[in-house]
Amino acid sequence: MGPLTLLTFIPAVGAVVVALLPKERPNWVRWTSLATTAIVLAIALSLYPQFDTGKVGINDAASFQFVENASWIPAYNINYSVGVDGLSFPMVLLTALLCFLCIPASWKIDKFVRGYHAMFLLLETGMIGTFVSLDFFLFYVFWEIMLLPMYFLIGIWGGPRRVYAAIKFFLYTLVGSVLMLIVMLVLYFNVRDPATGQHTFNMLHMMGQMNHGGILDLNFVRILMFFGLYIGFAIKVPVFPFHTWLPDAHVEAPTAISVILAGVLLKMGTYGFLRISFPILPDMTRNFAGFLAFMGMVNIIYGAFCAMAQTDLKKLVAYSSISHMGYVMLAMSALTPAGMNGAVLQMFNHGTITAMLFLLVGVIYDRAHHREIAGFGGLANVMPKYLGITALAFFASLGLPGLSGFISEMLCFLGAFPVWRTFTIISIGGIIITAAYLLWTLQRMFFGATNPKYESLPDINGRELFTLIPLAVIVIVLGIWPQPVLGLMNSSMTYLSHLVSQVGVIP
Amino acid sequence: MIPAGLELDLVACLPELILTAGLLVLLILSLLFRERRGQVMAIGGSLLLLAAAIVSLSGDERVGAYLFGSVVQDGVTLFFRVFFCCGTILCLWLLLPSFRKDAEPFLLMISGVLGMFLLAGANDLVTLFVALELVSIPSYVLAGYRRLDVRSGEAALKYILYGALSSGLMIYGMAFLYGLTSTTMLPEIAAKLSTAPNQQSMLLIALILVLAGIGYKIAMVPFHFWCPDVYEGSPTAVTAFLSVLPKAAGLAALYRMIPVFQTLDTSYGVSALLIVSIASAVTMTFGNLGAIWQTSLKRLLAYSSIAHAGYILMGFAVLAGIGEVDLYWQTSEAIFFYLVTYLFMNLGAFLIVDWVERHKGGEGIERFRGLGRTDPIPAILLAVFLFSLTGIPPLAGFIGKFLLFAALVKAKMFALAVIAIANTVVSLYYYVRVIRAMFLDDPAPEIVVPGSGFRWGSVVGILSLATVIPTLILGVWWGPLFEWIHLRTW
Repeated sequence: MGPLTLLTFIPAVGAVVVALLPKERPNWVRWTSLATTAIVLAIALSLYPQFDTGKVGINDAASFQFVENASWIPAYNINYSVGVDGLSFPMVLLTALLCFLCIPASWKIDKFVRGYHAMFLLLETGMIGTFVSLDFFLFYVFWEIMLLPMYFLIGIWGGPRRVYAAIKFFLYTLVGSVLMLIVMLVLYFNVRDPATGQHTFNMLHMMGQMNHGGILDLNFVRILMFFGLYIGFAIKVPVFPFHTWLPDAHVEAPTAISVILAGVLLKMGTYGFLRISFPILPDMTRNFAGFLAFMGMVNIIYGAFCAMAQTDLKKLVAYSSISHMGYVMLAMSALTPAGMNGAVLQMFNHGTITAMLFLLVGVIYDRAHHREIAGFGGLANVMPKYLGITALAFFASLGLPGLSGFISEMLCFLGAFPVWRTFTIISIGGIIITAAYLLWTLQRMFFGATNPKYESLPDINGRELFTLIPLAVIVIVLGIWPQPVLGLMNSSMTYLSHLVSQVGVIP
Repeated sequence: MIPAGLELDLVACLPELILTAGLLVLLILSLLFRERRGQVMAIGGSLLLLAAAIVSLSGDERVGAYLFGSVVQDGVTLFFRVFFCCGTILCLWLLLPSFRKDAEPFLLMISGVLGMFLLAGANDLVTLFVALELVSIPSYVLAGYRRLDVRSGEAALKYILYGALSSGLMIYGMAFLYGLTSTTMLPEIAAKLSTAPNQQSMLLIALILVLAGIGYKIAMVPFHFWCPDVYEGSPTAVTAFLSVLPKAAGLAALYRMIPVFQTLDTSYGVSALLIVSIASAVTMTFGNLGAIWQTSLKRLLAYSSIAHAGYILMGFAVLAGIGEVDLYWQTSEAIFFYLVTYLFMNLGAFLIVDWVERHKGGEGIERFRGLGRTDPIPAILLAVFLFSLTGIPPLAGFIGKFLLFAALVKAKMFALAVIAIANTVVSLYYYVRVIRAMFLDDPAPEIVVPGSGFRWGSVVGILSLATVIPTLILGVWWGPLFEWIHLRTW
């Protein structure tokens, strides 16, 4: 069994163990869960030094790393095929890290502890599985496995409108994934494995344009397929106008689940574009890149304005995620090496920064039991440590130089500007709006007269700091020296950029 | 005079003969026992059906037409026979908790299987019709088995009235077919119709009438009106039986009629593909939309079973419309696989509904509120079955749907695929309503019956294992069953 299989299925095993522990011992459950995610993180980190940053992956089977292949359903030529390249490995690291940090953040959950942790671990299996799959069928199965735990995690452990938010999330994402199912089948019946001539679900074979045949030669079929995938992934990102599930789900979900939603699940959408839509349908990607860039711009501006209008702190962070995922959309649709690198780096950085923001919202909510920005004021005197770390996260989010958000946003705009000048110039305006709403929020919450109700609020505690400090360190380090993560993806993303932007077939 | 070859014919009919003889033995046995009658019948019936299944399995090499060509034995016959046996064994045990002192429901079910066995191999209009009636008549009696329950009586009456009408329609259509070809043998009908492509309008009428008759059996819209009322009124265990086995029998009959459907080739663009596609789209859409508003779980599952008939009809649309051999068998496989997954997940769902009905005093959705807290095991089981019915991986229902969609995509029938997608999303909504009631809502204080004690060792416990394990395994490791079906069909 290779490391990727272990990474994927250790959480599932942990989920079973957790479910079998005695109900009367909630702490056993929490520690088991923490141990499981710690093992996963340790394995993921142990792969870091072994990862060869020179190998490109993407559509080249030979340069994928930690590859495992096994026949699963021979009748349909479905294989258990996993591997990572510079696109998926940063995402795997991000997932393992955030999942580990989310367990301490969920320590206070007392309702059905076993159920919560079992669902959470199952979710981790789905997420890591999605990132490492190289077989479309396998990818689809993992993609769908994420739905069920998420539904229950929002629906059972969420806030007052949890039932509505959970079903909305479920229905939206299911629409996207069944569309993806049809596209997957069309690809299957029109793509042949060059070696055996059989139909195949192997994504790498699907990327070889010379393996396409049948109705894939028809232009309108390719357009329909591109948009089938587009809707599936855009719902997950979420791209306007498919974003309405996100504020509901984020606001109602418990803190740790918001972290996972914003930190990892949103990246599934853009990851899907980069892993599937772009290399499999490069011609359509080029045709509709302008559309993607436009939607990215809409997301940036619309998300930022919506964030500004929020009175609920968590909703503000949720809309800021929509805005920040717009940078990813804009940058990747430029198809330039800088844009591609910026997009994936932004995915990673947004994952860490937004995780901090949601954790910080959780900290204040646990104390004050509400999230109305206007209800606070003068917290700087009461919770100085909390102020410090919140300010760091806010500044990282608005792209202050020296913090990780700056580097990736800069790369995004640098990459996008030569191709989409107007869109980029308008999008840069989004930064100003972002700065405005974040600073304004900071001011309203921390400065001014202290609300007498909150004069005795305890400052941030050790457990909470334990979840925040690692993220803060990453944010600062990557802000000064992005190479540890950028280096992982550079060769793959540069290759992908060439693959998609070159006209014609690339062998 | 004894026609030559009759001896061999009887060997081919061994499963039916065994069933008949076994039924008589069981009938006598039932008179000897009084207290534990149900148990004796369930055990005896299971052994009998198991024997019939094993004998059927050994018939692999006796492929051909028997009894003057009226019964055909091939891989498909074999698949259906084994399927009917397995399904009915599960249903017999499902009956047991409700009918511990009665023998009749068990005997009626087994006699229904006799009809299904004949149907699986029906190669002739008369055999097909008689077999279908042999399936129907025990079903009518079963639906009305609770003699003192008004709703049960109503269910039986509705069932038999609609049934009589649709049988009439079907035999009328069959008369047309006979008139067109002057034979009752299905292969000959198909052959004659394809070489003499006149009289297409008459054929169209005949086929629509036949489809109406079969459509009634499988609860195809617009012949589904009986279905929710009958399902609600019948004892729950009987409903479980009705929702799977007679439906599969109807589909077996339709499968045998497909060669005749394929000959339809009107000059004005109405093809069998179109007719069955419309039937499929309308059936799944009505089924799913109807289910949204239901508050009774039995009615909800009734509408859901209508929707599932619609999904399976998608496969039949491909069969009826496209003559390509590869695609024909691939689609057949998909249909058969779907039937197997449907058998386990649907029976499983009814099993838990039956359990709740007996322990919580009803099967309205309010009885399921907070079940996840009071009785977590049945609640989790029901959640698995419902998610599987929705078609969410990694559960069996997903693979069934995946294979059907694959056939559809290969046949390039994208419009129907998109309708099916929309339906899947709608179906999630109402299945999740039940999940929500069980896990997300608090128990209704006036309804809570604490400590209903679900035990794995009980009949229900073992049955739930027998249904949930295939539902889980077929979602992940479906290769072996698929290969088995593959060998039976190609």
